[in-house]
Amino acid sequence: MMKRSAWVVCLCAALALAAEAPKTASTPESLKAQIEDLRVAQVAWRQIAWKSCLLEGLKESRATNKPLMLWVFIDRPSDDGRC
Amino acid sequence: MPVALKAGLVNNPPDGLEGRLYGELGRSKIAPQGICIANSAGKALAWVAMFDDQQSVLAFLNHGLQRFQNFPDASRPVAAERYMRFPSAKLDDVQDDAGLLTIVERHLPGEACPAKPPATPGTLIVRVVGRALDADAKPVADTTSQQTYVEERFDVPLGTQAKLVRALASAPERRVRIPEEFARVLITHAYLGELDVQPLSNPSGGKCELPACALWGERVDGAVETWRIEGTSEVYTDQMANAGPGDFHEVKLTWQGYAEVKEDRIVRLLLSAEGREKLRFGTARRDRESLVSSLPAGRRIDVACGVRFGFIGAPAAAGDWGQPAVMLGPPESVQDKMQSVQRRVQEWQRDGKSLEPIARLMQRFEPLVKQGNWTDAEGVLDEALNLLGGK
Repeated sequence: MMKRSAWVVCLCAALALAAEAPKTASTPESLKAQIEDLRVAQVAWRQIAWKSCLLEGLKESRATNKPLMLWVFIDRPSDDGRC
Repeated sequence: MPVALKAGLVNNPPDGLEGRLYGELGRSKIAPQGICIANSAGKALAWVAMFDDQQSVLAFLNHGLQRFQNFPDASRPVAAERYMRFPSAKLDDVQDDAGLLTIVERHLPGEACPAKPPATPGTLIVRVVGRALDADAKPVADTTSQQTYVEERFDVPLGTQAKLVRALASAPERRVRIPEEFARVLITHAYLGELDVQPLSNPSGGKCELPACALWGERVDGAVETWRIEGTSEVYTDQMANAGPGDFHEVKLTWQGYAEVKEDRIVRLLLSAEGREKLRFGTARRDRESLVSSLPAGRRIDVACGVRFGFIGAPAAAGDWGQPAVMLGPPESVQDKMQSVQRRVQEWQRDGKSLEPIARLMQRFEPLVKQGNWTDAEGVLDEALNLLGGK
């Protein structure tokens, strides 16, 4: 009985691992498609049209008579999404 | 008008009229990072670092709008209000005594915006997407939190690319170990969560273990310049910026992908990594603390889940932005050697020795620095130190 339980545990573990194993991409193009699928097209935070140039922001503020909301953040590339 | 400014430019303004605009904003700042409402003349109207609760965020924006209606431009002086926490923790105002600022309409032709320096030609720009997986190994739908969804971009400098290409070319008929320098660049960016929890090169400078880092390259049959990449990595740290007792970060991944190379550069990089991530960050804090009440220190995270990352890299194209200069600084070992060279050069000058051979050697150094090729730049410094008689 003990042996059978151990086998069941091993089998379950193997199945769990199999479910998590990454799909092997046989060509660069199939891998590219898999990677592109990870990116969500409509993300709420990406809809904010952040400017990164202070001069452009001030110019538009004057043209539209709207204040600037400045987010002073760590020095990452302007098109980086991590913060 | 949402504008994201680099902290480096606000805290250390560049020269010139644009630098004065940055300097004026920075004059009243509360901390190196924060949120500020400013008017059309570049005057800070209200700074804030944190909020009492979610409702206070909208209240602050309305407050900023009100101040803008009263002080829209440079027609009269305005003091900068400052809130450590809005609205309950107000600091002293900073008076407007800097006078009028010259308004610059745009950058001069040929002048790069300091926030968007042009990318070094040949730099590989890599875009990463990371997803948390549910119990069925399917990506979690939530894209509002970095603990479930991240997008990031990083650059691979020419020197690191050249090292990879040299390693692959060294044994075209068999599997080749990917240089650790290149593997570390990838592993550094394959994680969920905010910048404070980054494994390897953590902002805290804390130690990080790399118990497994075995990536291999093998030439794809019939494709002279395409290499298949596979392998595993494992990274662990309990020394993260703003972390507390009991916090740690562990990422175990299996990698697969392709690198297409030409001469000494990567022309396309496609990588997928899948595995498990455990992250405990800020776990000593109260669980139900409002997210906006502790912005500078990040949010509490306690996750253990499957993860999947995708990397797509391509050479920088015309018009692509580079890393801000502050990120392109030399590694510590190069900085140390630069100082040693300077010290020894001064000694040689004092002793009246000819510096011509050193000057000739160092002519190779500057272009390497401009390329961000720190590996070869360090090699030049080693040669210089040998010539100068050691450290």
